[in-house]
Amino acid sequence: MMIQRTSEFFRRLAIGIGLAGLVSFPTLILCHGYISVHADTPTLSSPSGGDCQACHKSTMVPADHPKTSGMAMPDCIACHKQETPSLGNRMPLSHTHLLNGVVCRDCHAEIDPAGYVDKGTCMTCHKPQDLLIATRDVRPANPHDSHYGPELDCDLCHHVHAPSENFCNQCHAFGFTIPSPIIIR
Amino acid sequence: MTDESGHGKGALTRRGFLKTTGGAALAGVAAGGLFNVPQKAFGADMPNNWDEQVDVVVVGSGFAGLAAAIEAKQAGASVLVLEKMRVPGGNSIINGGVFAVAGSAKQEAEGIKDSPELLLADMLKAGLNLNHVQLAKLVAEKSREAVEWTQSLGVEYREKVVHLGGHSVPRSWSTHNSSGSAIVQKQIEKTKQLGIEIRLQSFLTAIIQDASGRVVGVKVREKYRFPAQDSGTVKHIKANKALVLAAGGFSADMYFRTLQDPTLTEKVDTTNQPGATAEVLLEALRIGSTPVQISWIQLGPWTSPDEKGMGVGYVFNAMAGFVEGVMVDPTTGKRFINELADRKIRSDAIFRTGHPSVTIADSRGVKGVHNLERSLEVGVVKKFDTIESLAAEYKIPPVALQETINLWNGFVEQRKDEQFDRYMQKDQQTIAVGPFYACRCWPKVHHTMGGVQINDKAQVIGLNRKPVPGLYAAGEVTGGVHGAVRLGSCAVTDCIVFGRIAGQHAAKA
Ligand SMILES: Cc1cc2nc3c(=O)[nH]c(=O)nc-3n(C[C@H](O)[C@H](O)[C@H](O)COP(=O)(O)OP(=O)(O)OC[C@H]3O[C@@H](n4cnc5c(N)ncnc54)[C@H](O)[C@@H]3O)c2cc1C
Repeated sequence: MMIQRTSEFFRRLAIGIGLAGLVSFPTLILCHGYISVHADTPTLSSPSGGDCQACHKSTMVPADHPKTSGMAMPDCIACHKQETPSLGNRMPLSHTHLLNGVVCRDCHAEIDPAGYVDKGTCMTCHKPQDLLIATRDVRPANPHDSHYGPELDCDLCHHVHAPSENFCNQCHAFGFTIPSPIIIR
Repeated sequence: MTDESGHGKGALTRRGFLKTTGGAALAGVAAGGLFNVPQKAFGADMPNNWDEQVDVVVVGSGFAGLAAAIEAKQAGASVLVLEKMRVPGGNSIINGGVFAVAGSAKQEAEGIKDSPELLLADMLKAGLNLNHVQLAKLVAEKSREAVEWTQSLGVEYREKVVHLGGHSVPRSWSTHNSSGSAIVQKQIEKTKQLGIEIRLQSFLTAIIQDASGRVVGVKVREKYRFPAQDSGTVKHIKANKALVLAAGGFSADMYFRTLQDPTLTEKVDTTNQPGATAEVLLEALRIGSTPVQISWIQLGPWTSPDEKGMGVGYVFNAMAGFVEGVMVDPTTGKRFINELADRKIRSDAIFRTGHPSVTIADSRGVKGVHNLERSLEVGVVKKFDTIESLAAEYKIPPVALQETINLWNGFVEQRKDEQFDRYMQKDQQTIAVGPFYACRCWPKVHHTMGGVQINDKAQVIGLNRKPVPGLYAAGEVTGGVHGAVRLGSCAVTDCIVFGRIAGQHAAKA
């Protein structure tokens, strides 16, 4: 309760201040700022979205990596698409969303950021019929065309702020992993 | 059941109430007579305010719950379906889609003679006559009506009936995709048309009774995230007419199932969805419903140890190995049981050998295995050019295996299994034309026959031998229909028949 109220206070304050960037200021305050709702989320020291080094230091981003602050997904892909190490499956979905300009409040607009997002929110961008086709060759079964039908809760597999998991595998033993693909929208 | 109010420690029946709060309550009786007993003696859980109300609350979104919801709505009641999981359909939506129907046009077309009486006789034989005959009879008699009802919802079935173990004739219908999801998806479609809400992540934690003992509502946790007991928020929903329990069986409830059968430890896998747990059954018992045959727990003989859960290989075993081929003990290369005996007889026989058995069929025998390619891909079914290479893979003595196959082929030619008297299919063929296919079998916990007692109106019967007012139940959460052993494909029939009955009566309660 405390957290909810405080975060709402900061959200309004931040919106009031009206700072926006690639990653908006309220976003940063809520997710990476003074009152992180995700306890293990690193705190950003400066409010610029593509600033990988600010959190990840040299452990993830090599020291000689070009400065990333201000970069968006197309900038990452310009180098990472073919080259190793690829970014594919390395970034959590929260990051790929952010770098595509989808900020926290785009999904968490009405509710406290700690709450779960309804699949309807995902489906405003990701259409079930497209996904069904995208994964039709996945073996041994197309995860988007299962006995549960095409409209399952996305978050059963695809976690945005945690490693994704293979929901099928609570009963099956399917070899495929849930990708965190680098997609430009 | 445990929840934050602590009544789970045993307070709700009148007797329970007096026991736990006996001091205060008896003091009340002593000082001011019976009328001073606090109002909440029965309805200790009665909320001050209901968050919501509806005519009929259904718990569980499988075959039984959805059938009840559809019928209740069509009878004029407002209906809400509660489902604790994040997906609908329970075990029904992962089910194999075989549906026992006695005396159908499909059978007539194949010249198979059948009747509800024959199905009932099969159910009683497998059930060791522990079945509550009146209930089993209803299932047999209404089996045809039940499948036709699903057809009216748009469910499509394959042309041929299949022969499952323990049935004296082939009679079971297969959905077009060999999955119960074909039925559940159409049921869900119907609920949408009728404007019935299926509320996922809504976990029933208590059944609420009024002072007279009538069931009047439920306590739930909404936005619940299985299996976190304390997740979500508490809400009270009033059921103006009735509550229908359709919460399924408890094969995945490690604590409760090993309590009933201590041999079923975590070493034995289950075919069930992880939410197949006992809390609704226990809650029904807590308010005084009568338990029936809770410790009869069935293992499926056709599952494979080479994959998780039900997996895919069971189709080969059930449709080919047991019907068109043979099952052997790999250490001897010999058959050891009638491959079409009921599930308990087969599972017990496999367990007795102490290791997985091997089923074998030839290229003609696998015609009905719709998922053969996938089973080969997953590696649970294997393909061999010769019987010798098959024997080598499973370390079966090759000469003994060939002898077993020759013996069986002789039985097929004379149309009589002299060893175990297995039913000969109309077009039974020998095991002779390669490639040959094989799969290992090791039983897994599959079905819980026991549950709450119901009558022919699907009313739950209390320990006072009378219906618990306002409480109905259908499907695997009930006991009695199947007795000791459920026959394959009879669960769908049971769930649809009694789900519909429960809904019809609940709407008028
Ligand atoms: C893999 C598999 C294959 C099968 N194949 C066949 C077959 O081909 N033919 C056949 O006849 N039978 C088959 N069976 C058996 C049959 O599918 C089941 O007996 C049947 O589906 C039970 O239906 P139900 O409606 O009673 O319960 P379910 O379909 O299990 O639904 C019960 C629902 O209640 C929910 N629930 C439980 N507790 C709560 C709570 N506290 N609050 C809210 N919701 C709750 C559960 O999550 C579940 O979704 C199969 C079973 C399995 C597991």
